[in-house]
Amino acid sequence: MPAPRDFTDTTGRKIPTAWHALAPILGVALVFRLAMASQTIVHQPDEIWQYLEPAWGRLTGHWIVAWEFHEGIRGWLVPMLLTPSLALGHAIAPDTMLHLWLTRGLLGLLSLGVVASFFAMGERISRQHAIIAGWVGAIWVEIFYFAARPSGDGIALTLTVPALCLAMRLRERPSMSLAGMLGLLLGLAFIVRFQYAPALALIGLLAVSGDPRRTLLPLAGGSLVAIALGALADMAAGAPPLLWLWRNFAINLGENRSASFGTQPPWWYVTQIGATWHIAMLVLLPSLVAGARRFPFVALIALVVIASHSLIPHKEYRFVILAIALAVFLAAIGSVDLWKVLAGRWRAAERINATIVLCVLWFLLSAVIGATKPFSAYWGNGRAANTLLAKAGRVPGICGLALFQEPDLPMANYTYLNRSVPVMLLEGRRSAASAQAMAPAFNVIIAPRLAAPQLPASYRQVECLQPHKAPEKQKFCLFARPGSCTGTPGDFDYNTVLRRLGH
Amino acid sequence: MTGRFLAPLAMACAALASCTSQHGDDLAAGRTAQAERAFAVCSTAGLSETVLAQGRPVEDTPAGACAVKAADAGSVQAALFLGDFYRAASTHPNRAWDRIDTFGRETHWYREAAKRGSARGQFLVASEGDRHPYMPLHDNLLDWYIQSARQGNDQAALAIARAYKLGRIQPAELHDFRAWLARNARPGTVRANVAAVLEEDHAPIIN
Repeated sequence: MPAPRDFTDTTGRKIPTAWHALAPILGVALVFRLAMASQTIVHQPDEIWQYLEPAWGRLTGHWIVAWEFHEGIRGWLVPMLLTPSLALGHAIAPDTMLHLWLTRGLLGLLSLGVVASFFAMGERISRQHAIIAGWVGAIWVEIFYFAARPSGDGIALTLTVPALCLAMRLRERPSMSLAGMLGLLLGLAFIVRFQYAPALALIGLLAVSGDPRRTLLPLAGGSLVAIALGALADMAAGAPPLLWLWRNFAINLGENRSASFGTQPPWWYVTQIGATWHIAMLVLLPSLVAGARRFPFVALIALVVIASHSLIPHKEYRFVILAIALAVFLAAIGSVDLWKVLAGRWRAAERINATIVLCVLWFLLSAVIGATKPFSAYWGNGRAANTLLAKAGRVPGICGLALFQEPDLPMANYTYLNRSVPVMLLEGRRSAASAQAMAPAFNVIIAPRLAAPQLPASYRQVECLQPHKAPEKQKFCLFARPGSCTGTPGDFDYNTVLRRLGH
Repeated sequence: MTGRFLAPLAMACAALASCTSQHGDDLAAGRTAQAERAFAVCSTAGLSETVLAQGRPVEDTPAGACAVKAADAGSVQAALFLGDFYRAASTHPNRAWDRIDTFGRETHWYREAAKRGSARGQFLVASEGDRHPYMPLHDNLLDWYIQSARQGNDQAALAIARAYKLGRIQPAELHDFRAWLARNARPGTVRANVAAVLEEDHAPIIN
């Protein structure tokens, strides 16, 4: 790991730092993150049912409860932290999606810490390294895509990268207050994504290795404060403090429940990263190796994240976003070094502004990855289902919603529906007859297009999303009937049926 | 010096773990046997036909409540009985069943049987939930199919092969199952045919 630069020259004069370049980079980063925040993208169902929906439930009293909360394997800290922005958005414009834009925008804003940390870590080498590392943190598609996501992975990334930057500083300039702050960041990251524990422990070790006697206790103290916050959040929600940690470990890893969501071979992360970066690997791989020589400890942390997650049969790309972001940081650093080697051998390169060329190159690489498979598929994740839910919530006079033969469960959530009306779930062989029998209890239905003939005759199709797809693949159509509702959801209450189905 | 202590310590830990595991298995087996005995004394003969015709949840009858109690205590037979009851209810002509969530109740009880290792329960919870042939096969349904197939249910293995051919499964998700088939499929059996299908091309993956 490079030592911090000395900002005085041999005559004792101050060398200009690159910090003035950080502001425009942060500006660009913010634009990308706010653009992401404005999009109806749900990368993974957890974003809704583990974080937003419980927070919405705290706010309105209505929420769809996923099996994880019945089993008590999720903590309440993240939902509690998301509640104020949801509440603010709902208070300002209750009939809009402002609550979601504000929440995602706030997360995007907080993730600017990742950009600043990349910049600060690059600044340890040179001004150019700082600018390129910061720029890459700002515009790299995998980083800004997850920056505004209300998910444990994205939030843990936002907490961990600044923690790593702080740990480097703390190692060289031990300080009790900084150690306490680092402990808080690491503790929060642990509560948000405990699977990062080995990486977080390594960062803690790095920080205290400079002066353990001065830093160890404040670091431990800061971590304990974060863990206490997690426990308090659980208690405020009426759950036993931190018991979810043990249950999550016992159920997902001990009983291997997470394997029921799909299993992949141990090398899956490596192949998936390779598939995602594809052509960009030609630049990324040599740059990454060069960068790892500058920051071997960062490379070690990335490897530990990938190795520890590779041991778990259920794998998702987002789980290792910390490792991916750190690898991209290393590649950004390495690209500057490789350019310098190239410039030394190729005279024409000397005459080009390396910083601008590298910034453009990184932007193009990011655009290529974002626009090609497999990453390009992420831009549509969850869009249709949640757009239709929001539209259902805006049907005038909606008094009850039924989800009919929808293939993806759970689909309903009050965060997007934004209406505190009863929601029902009609599934199985008898669902058409049940829709007839229960018809007075709702006046809006969401169903696949092919299911339309099975709906009560009083319903008219309002809209089908994704009309370009074949009829059998049009999963999200909205139907409504005139009139009000009578009766209750009875046996078809969404939460009750969902629990029976094990979702 | 440390080695002198480590070896016996490791042996003691291994023995303890084995003993604990053995003890745990024995306890679970004992509880299951007790639950099966409890179900055996529930008066379920002719119950299904009567209650199906009445159109009310079987749990509301004394014999049904007895079956629920046994199923909750770990009886696979009781869980399958309740699952079968609601499966029959889902096609029964009595319109009273229109107001009862037969599908959710059926799935719940088959899943309870599946969780306790019933190959039939595993297959039924997967096949009853597998209702959208043009959509990707849900990971949890695939998991139940695989568990059932590994216990010798050929229908489950064939269902996996069909879904694979239609592009409803990401090939990486079958990595372990393929390896298992390679070890356990004798030539000429359904498993061998399924293993062969899983090596063939499939339709484009449905997203």
